[in-house]
Amino acid sequence: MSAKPLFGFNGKWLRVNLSTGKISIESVPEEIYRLYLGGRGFAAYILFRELRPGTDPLSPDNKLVFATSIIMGVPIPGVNRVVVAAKSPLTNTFGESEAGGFFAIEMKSSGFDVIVFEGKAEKPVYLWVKDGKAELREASHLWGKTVKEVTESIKKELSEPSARVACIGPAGEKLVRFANIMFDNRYAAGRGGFGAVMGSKKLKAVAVKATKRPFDFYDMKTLIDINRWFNENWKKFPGAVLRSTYGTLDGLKQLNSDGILPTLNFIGGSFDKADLISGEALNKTILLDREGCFACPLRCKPRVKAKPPYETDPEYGGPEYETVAAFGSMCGIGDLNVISYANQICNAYGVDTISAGVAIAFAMELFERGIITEKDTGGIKLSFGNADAMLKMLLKIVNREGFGNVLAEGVKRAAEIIGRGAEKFAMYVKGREVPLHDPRGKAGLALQYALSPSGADHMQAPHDPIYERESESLKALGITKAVNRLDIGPMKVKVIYYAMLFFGLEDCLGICKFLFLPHQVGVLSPNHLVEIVNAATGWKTTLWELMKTSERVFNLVRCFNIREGFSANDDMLPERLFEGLEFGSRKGQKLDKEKFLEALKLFYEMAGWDHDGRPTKAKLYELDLEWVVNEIYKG
Amino acid sequence: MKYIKVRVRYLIPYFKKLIGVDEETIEVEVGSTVKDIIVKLSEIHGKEILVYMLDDDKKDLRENVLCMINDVVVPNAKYVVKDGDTITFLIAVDGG
Repeated sequence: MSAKPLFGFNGKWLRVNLSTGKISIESVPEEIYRLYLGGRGFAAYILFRELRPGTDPLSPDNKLVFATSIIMGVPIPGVNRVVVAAKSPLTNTFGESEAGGFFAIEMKSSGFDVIVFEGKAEKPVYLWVKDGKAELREASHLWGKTVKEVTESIKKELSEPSARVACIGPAGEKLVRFANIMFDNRYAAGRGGFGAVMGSKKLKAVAVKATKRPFDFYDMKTLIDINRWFNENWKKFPGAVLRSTYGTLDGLKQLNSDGILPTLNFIGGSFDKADLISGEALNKTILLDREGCFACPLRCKPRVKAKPPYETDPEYGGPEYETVAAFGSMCGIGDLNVISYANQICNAYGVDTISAGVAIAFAMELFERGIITEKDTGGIKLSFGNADAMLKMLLKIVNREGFGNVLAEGVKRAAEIIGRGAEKFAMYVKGREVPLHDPRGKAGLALQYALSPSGADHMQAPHDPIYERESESLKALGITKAVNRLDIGPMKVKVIYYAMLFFGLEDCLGICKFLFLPHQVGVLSPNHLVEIVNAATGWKTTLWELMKTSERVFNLVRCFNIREGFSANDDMLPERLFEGLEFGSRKGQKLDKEKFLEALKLFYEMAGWDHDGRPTKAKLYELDLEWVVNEIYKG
Repeated sequence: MKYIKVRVRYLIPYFKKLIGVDEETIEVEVGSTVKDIIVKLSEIHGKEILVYMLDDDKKDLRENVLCMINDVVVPNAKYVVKDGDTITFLIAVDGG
């Protein structure tokens, strides 16, 4: 009798033991797919089960997961993101990052829904996967090379010009704690330091290629109909058109006029050179063209060519909002050429642009305040606005040289090393640098930053302005009342809780959060998402089941962190966010600490967590996580 | 019929381009709602406005479009405007 056909997934995970060189294929039952869906869900399931508490993230005992999902490969815009996860060397928490582009679809089509790396290779290697077969190959000749060199070399030596390549640059090899993984030169799994995890394992790259798709979708007609609907309708949505025109820089000027464009290490919220680094400015000056991820007509990613002496290679793409704010307003730099050059350094050497920019802005403030001097920086005058100094320090970070070696540890550890009161100016949550959104002008974001399992993250839920009006997509999630952006009372707590579960679901499915409502750019609705899952798999699921799945995963990653010793005390924000903005249209505005702590407490209660932020036994049983109970209720 | 004057501002570059100005003052009937304002704008500037500003049911604002009346975002297009109000259309800037 033939086995029941699988729709939407391969049912195969690849396990690569780098210490022994053994590669094995595991058959995974449909039940696990239904309970975890993919992406963040699979990563949480694997890491919680397989990592011992207290594992050193840069040791062979850490495991690195590349995960796709049950819907990866559907011909619909926005379904394209590979989730990379491990215990993070930046935060020591569950760590997760996603990259768009084409890698996830190629990886799944090559035969494996998940790849798990464990152990450590004796000498540098890369993994080559093609049509269900996998092998480790020598990579000593690639060690020390930059991302584009590695990507091109691998394609050439495999004679596979259309292979998709994920790799690390020299920063990952040098264990910079916010080293990233670059995909096809310009898509990054940026945050959390997984490049360093690869570096610690002597894993230089992963290349994937498929010549056919080994799995089917249950109802291709519905999937094609949704694709057609998207393509016929997206231009009616002003947010989508703006994103297509200006990329993620579409909101920079509005954030600036609203007084919440992070400026000079979050001292203020308006940058006097904002017009020079806006989406409009980029389009008029250095933009060559825009490109998109798999099946996406918005094409929001810029390819730029900056002007000498900061000339850049379009192969590395171009700076997006987070990068522009990190190296621009945060460092006082109003020149897109300089920012693009910094972006290129990050992509070529392989570091997260957010953490790198925030680390330099932090050091600039210390320099301005006299906490560090040229003696510390090796003669670099690291003042705000000094472009030359910024680029020099960035190169020192990626090469772990001089003071760059201190900043390469991330701002939390750097502040501890520097001492002298530096901690006051270090902008991080759970060790991860705060991204370029200021919760002093959108209070619900404070909860996202505090409760993100991977440290400060701006993509845990839509931001507060979305909730200021009623909408069908919010109602579909059970959010029926509008709530002001500065509110952090019970209604906002509920909104953020539900919205975090929805964004968490998107991370389980490997979805671009831009294209699904509720989001500024959104076109497809939450109900479309349910239709897509059912058409891909043949299941008859509902938004209820999918949201409960996300809740299961949210609690599982919370339990991972609790098992590592994290508690409510770690759900805290940098003190600066409880102090008034020093300049800009929201001068003086701050988060109310007492109200924030009340909101956190209320969130715990709504989530079914105890006063220390630990999921109750009842909540874990409800979510089919009975196997987790003994792990976090010992003694 | 009694009329009131309201100032309309467009912070969405796409709308600015469509309409041709950053802001304008228009006359509408007393008791007009935000939706009525949008219908009026479509009479002045062309029916395309309706496609971008209102959802497919033509009941509420298109998702992600915010409408501020005198610096306060209104929850839906049923909000009644008053003489001298400033109405601003903008995008709900989000993370990314």
